[in-house]
Amino acid sequence: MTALTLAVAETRLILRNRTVLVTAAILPIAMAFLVGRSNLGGMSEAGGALAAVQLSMLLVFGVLMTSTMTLAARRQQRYLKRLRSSPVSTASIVAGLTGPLVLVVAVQALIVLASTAWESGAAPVHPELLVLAFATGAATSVALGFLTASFTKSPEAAQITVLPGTLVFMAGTALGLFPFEGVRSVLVAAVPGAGMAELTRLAWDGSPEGHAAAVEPLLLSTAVAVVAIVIAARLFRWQPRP
Amino acid sequence: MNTTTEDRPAVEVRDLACRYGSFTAVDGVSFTIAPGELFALLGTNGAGKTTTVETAVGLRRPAAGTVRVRGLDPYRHRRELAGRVAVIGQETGFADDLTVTETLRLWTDLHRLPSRADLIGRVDLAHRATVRVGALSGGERRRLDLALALATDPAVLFADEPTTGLDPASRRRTWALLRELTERGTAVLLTTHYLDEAAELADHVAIMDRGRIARFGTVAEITASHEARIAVSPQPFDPLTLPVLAGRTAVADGRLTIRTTELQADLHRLLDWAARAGVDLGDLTAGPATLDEIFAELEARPAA
Repeated sequence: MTALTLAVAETRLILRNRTVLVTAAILPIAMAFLVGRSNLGGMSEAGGALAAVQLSMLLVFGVLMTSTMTLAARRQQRYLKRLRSSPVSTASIVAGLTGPLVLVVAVQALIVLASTAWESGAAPVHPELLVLAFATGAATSVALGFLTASFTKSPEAAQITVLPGTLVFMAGTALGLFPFEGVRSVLVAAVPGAGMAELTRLAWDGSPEGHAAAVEPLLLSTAVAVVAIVIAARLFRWQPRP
Repeated sequence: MNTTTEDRPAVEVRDLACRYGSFTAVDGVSFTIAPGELFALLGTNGAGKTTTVETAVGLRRPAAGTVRVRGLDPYRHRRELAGRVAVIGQETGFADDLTVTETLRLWTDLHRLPSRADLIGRVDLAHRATVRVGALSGGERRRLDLALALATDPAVLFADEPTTGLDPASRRRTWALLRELTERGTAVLLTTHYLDEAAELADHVAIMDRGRIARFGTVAEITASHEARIAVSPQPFDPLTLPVLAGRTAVADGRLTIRTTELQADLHRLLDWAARAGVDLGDLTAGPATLDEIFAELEARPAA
């Protein structure tokens, strides 16, 4: 319940800050629709690839960038330090601060992907895999957001510090759309965003091997999310450096 | 008989040492605070007060020594203590875009406590209830901080300079609220730069200097352990006619100052001398040393 209380407060804060509101609510959906319209590399004919890129953009703009910005701001205000002096668990604080962002992106994903399905004339073959792709992608983006915030002094600095994480996640998404074999496929799937992209493509386009084809990307994307969370938990600072 | 929570000290600090690299900020500090006691920690800037408080709150691990709050290590038992310990810090830690009411409500909700909207009025913020915290003045933020501390009805309150930036009326109101807390059994550790505040509120005072406790006791005990002061502008005045006094005398601009451990005896000798010699003792003042004087004396000591 405390996570929900914090999430309600966080939603208020997002709604009252124009910069964060634009980054969280308007920019991601605009970018995702723009990619759908631009037909980059003929993606609009390949529903899975387009959906993966759109999902990636939503997560990068809506979760990674916004969470870095808001966490840096809350730390600068010593708000995180105060929350840590309350009886609220660390997990509830993390859930309360990032939950609204993930929820906004989930709603945006529903709208964007429904539009993609309608325009490409093909609905996802395995919608349940799409949910898993979103879940692992969101967890990885949240972890990358915390990780980036750990070396981001202020919300203004976030405009620069998010670039490495953004590039890695986008590159991972691109790599996840190409079929690789053997060890190379494992290495590629270990790049943040790659497993999410491959799962999305399989969810949308299907595979002759059915669900079996999704096991490896699902395991690897889950492992990437867990590793990112562990590293972020070790490096994240709740108060500014003295 | 078993020791209950109420029997043991609310805060117990033993031989505490804190270091920043090779610099020792706190060096062998010990004190205890009983439930319902207000303990004031005074000191010059950099004396180690805030480091001591941050360690007692559990924000940093001691380099040596032990800290116990209600019998628990505050660094290891942060969550267990969080519901019973409140902190008023030098940095208030609010989300600037929440209003005063929303901030208080968030805090009580996070502690799973009933709403305490009445506290906004008690800290004189009723007229600012719907204003965003970012628009409050420094003094108003401190009052909101106090409201949040009061809302949790804490067993221990760490108040790090809670009245800095407040106007005199708000300071006095804050004092009343702190007194009310101690009357209800809350142990308060107060750091302050205002010596009158410590003299007014504290049951015990410790004066820190360069990481150590240089003076400890009640205000009366501390001032009694220092030389009292008699000051007077005698007319006419010939220093050579002065009687033998126990204290040390000094004359500056025609004003005689006597620092003495025998206030009553020296005052009697001085009055007797004035009566016999026909001297008028203008602007006569006499009394024990003040905290300000003791503080200034410590500040003036050369570094070891």
